[in-house]
Amino acid sequence: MKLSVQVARRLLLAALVLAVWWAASSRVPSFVLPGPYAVLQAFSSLLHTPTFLQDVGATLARVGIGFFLAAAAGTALGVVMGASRALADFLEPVVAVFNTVSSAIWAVFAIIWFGLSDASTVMVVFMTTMPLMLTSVWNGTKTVDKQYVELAKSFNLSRLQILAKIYVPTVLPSFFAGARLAFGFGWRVSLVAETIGASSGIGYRLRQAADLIQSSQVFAWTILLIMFMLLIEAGVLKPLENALFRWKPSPE
Amino acid sequence: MSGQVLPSQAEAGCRIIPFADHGLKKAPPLIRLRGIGKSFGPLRVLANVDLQVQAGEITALIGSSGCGKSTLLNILAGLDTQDHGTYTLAESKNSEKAGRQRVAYMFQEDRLLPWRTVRDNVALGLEAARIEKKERLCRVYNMLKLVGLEEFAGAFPYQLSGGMRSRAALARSLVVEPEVLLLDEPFSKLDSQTRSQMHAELLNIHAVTGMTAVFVTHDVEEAVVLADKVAIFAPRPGRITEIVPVELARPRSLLDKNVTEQIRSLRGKLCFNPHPSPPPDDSAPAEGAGLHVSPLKGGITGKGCRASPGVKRESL
Repeated sequence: MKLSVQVARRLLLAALVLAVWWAASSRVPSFVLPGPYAVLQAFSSLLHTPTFLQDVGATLARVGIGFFLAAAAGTALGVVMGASRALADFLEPVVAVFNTVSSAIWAVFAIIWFGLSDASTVMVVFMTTMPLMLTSVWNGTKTVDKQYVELAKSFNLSRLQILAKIYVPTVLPSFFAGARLAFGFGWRVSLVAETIGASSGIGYRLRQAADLIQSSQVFAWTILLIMFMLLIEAGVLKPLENALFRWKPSPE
Repeated sequence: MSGQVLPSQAEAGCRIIPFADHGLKKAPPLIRLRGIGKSFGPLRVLANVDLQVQAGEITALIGSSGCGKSTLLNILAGLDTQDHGTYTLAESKNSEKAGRQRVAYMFQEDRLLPWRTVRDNVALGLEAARIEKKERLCRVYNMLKLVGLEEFAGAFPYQLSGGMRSRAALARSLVVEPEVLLLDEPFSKLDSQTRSQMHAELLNIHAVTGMTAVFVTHDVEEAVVLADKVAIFAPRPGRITEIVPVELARPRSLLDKNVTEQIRSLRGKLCFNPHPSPPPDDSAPAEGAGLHVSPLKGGITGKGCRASPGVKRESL
């Protein structure tokens, strides 16, 4: 499809959404559904709030730390479970249980254990994303081709070299897919955690806005978060994926 | 895919030299197998295999599926060990160079690592030996040139044809400059035209490098075209029943009467070999238990092997 046609379609869709939004908002009170213009105003005042950068930074740091710890622990456990069948069979139910516990429950426990602090949010992010990373990496280790290992042995590669040159490249796509999923999850649950277990950060501001029924504020934050995620997707994840996995035949 | 710096041979100071330099003609054999036996659980895969291979010789191992040829190759490669018997690889002065491997293995599948370019795939054995980058590249490019793939150094395996993948796998085995190259039906998945190209390629490389080769095949023509001698295997348990020398000048054309005659005679030996019953002592289980024995595709039995010994076959 031509680029110009694609752009035109996107613009048309955006215009339609705005029109429907505007039409709907003009028929209901603004605390139920604020109009596009009110949201735009809220958005610009949000950017000029003195605590804006602090809030975004606090949330980012919590998500980042939780995600980093989860990636490290999940990868290590996934590799161990991939290496030992017995251990994998033993631990599998625990993974299943962790995957079924709601992030809201973790948030409640986090408050009981850590109170209103950074650690609460970090814990919720960790608990939600760690099982995802573990499962992805564990599945990745199952796809290691025994024939490649045999090949490596025929060339006298050491165990460490086999790990680095055969296992790591095989597991990398699963790791990446898991990390992408986990980061998205972590980002979303961090807001849930912050609404109840923090005194700063985006989630905390969202709760303040809700308490004061400032719907336009909530909308402004939402738009900001969407923009942020799209930016990460297009600016970091996609290019990284393209660079890392050039060796895969393109799906067409 | 092009555009990378191609290190010139003179500049980096690495050239292709014969991998194996065997001065004396009547040297002791390079490979000596005596009484090799191997079992997997109750299943006897190899029984009392004797084989000697001179340096520079090309030896074919031929026989039906599941007769232990590949197991023997694994033992030669050091990927497996025999239960009985001895395997000796004669001492040699040529194995001192860094990044040199005495024995290299070319598998039935090309086993190119999909995440590595052709260049990096070929370099695998040199990375294992921690050869520094400059020499590594130089040796890799020499081998890519030898197999005619230097333009595809930067390509990924999925971008190559079957024949090119085979060449890349061959280059990867050769870059460690092996004295002995083991090949397990390496060209069996190629179409017949590409296969004969690869045969010519292999013979050319053999002439340049003087390496010793042992290959497993189902294909009588392949055995006669390539080998100096053919070891005929019988199954259950796997053993060598006869070693047939092929004393024909190279290149050997399938249009040459002497070549076709040898092929015909070898087929005869394979077909009418009165599979002697396994050696007496035998804990060997009933036929084919646990062993994958499948009818051959167009190989040995496929071509009229059911005919009774008295019938002459006209067609070849």
